[in-house]
Amino acid sequence: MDSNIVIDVRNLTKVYKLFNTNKDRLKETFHPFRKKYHRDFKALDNLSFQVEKGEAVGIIGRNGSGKSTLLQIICSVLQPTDGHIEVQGRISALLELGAGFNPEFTGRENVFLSTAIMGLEREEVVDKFDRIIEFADIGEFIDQPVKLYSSGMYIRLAFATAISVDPELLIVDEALAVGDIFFQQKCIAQMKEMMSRCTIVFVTHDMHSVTNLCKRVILLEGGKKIFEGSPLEGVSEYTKIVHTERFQKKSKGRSSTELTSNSNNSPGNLNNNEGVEWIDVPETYKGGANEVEILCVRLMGEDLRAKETVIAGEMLIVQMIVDAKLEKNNVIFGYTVKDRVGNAIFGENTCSSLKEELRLSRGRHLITLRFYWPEVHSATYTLTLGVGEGLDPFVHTIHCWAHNMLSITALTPGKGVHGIFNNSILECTICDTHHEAAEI
Amino acid sequence: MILKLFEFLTVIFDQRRLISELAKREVINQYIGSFLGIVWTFIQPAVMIFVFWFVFSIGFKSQPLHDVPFVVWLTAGMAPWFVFSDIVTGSAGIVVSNAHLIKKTIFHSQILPVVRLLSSYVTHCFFILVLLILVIFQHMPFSIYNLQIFYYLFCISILALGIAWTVSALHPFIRDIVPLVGIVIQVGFWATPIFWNIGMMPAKVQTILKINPMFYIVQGYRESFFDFKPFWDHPWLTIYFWVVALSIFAIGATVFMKLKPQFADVL
Repeated sequence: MDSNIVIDVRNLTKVYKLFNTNKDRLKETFHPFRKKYHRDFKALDNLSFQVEKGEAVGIIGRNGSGKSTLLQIICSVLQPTDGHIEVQGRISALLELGAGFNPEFTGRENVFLSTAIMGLEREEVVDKFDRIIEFADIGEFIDQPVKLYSSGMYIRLAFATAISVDPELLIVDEALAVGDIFFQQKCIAQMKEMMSRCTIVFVTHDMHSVTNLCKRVILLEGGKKIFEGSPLEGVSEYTKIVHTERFQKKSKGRSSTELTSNSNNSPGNLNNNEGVEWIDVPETYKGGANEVEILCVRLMGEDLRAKETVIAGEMLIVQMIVDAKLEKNNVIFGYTVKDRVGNAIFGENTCSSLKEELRLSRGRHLITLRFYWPEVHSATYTLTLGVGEGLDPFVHTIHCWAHNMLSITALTPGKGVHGIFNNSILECTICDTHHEAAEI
Repeated sequence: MILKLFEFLTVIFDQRRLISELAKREVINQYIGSFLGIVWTFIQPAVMIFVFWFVFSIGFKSQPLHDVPFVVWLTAGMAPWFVFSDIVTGSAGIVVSNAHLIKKTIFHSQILPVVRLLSSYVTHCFFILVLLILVIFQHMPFSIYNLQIFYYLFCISILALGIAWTVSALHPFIRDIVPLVGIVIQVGFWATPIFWNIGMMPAKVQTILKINPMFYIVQGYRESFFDFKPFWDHPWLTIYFWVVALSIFAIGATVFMKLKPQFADVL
């Protein structure tokens, strides 16, 4: 094995044998003629990859795609059913924070105990103890039993302990999403600092940390590796899978392709693009007077391909097919982008943006909106589209809302967004204050 | 196979610091939050022996055996049995109760029964202390042969560890193991000449009773304290014991080693 390769996984397969009872499992283990008592479930299917020294690799995928199983095999907590795995160096695994903690013991005792489980000598821990306490920032609670801790304190101490080991290989399972925002930032900063010294493999659902911490991602789906490469592409592939799943559940009944081909008004060449699936708007997602109804919507990038992730400055194209039951003058189209918890982050409508009158004849129409994505905090956002009627941006009739129909994940590779969005600083000057004071 | 077994055993040596740390935790954990703390470890055997002394010496008026007061004779027999049963019953459920360590950390679970072994030694020390106090109070002589208990304690450790590995590894798969072990230990207590003298049995029955490897140890403890006989005085019994103990030890280690990879799947 190349000395530069820390993890070498070849044709790894993990089959969970599903037994009806534990007794069957035992019978099979000691059965003289190797009789089978189980059904197979493949958690990992013929997986191969390598991780080089000093790399930060993210493993992403949906729930149940085999990510945690893979980490457990890397840590040799679980044994692979088939294939080969070689791991070099001292491993520290954050499979679950505070796994070695005993609630009856004080924070101090637990630090010593769980570092002992991780294989540290007592003297080493004594040297590091102050740093652990400082990082966890739990003050005098360190000498209280951990059962009295708030869950935040518990997690902070556990994280601080876990990262104190100085491993050559750090395995992290979803551990970053802990504590308040400040502690999370501290953890990410710490991880970045550690990356310079060790190899990191981590599993997460937080696409922000994937794009900011990893050099490479591996995307798992149903136990198979379906993508390996740059984080941006990986996240985009991942979002695609998540979307597909969601839309398949959503679209039922009417066929949307039928709707597009029927649409009598087809401006531009956009309609030729059949690559991006239309999404039907179910009744429960609609609201408004309904004289103009939104039938289906879709979201594309500038290249007219499906878009799952977006970076500030990129153009988005939103299309919808509307059905006008009456002829309408002064129609307004608009969108709102909302975050995970439903706060409207930004939005606009044609009335205030374009200052031109839009008309709709009776029947179906294809509406296309284009806008640039602003530099907002990296997260997954949903788009709400609307049709209204009126002359004033604020006073108008709403005909139809299609709530939260589209979603897109914003990424800010290599950049932090301070708050909801970033606002650039135009100028910065440095003056000598003595000088200035004298002038005043 | 042999090599794997060797690796399995060397882990115990490699992880000695963790083992002692965990054993310390286990001892403290038993008494954490109580006012008397570790003193309880002493009070428990002391009270138990006091009760036995009261019942048998005052109540039943048991006669001294070979010039040894009954209570002292009884204590010397109970001490090894209690450390043995403590290790075995305490280990039976130990894999399941440490599931969080096995599933969530990089952990060599075979050290768990060893941890139990060490923490049982602590209780045993207090038991021996009570025994020594009794010996002093009864003005009985000391001898170099007293030190033989270290040899016998080693015998217990090998035997108990083998059994502990077997039962603890089976427990995640068959949860009936824990009550079963409890019953077997209870039967074993009465089947081993602890409360009664083997001399009162007919010769034939005696031979059958000697099959029990714990007989060798209980008798050994008494010989170390009262008869001052070295263990090589009965070579055949010694050889028999070691054949049995080492076989059980090897079986236990093998069973544990075979089942260990599957623990994380069933816990």
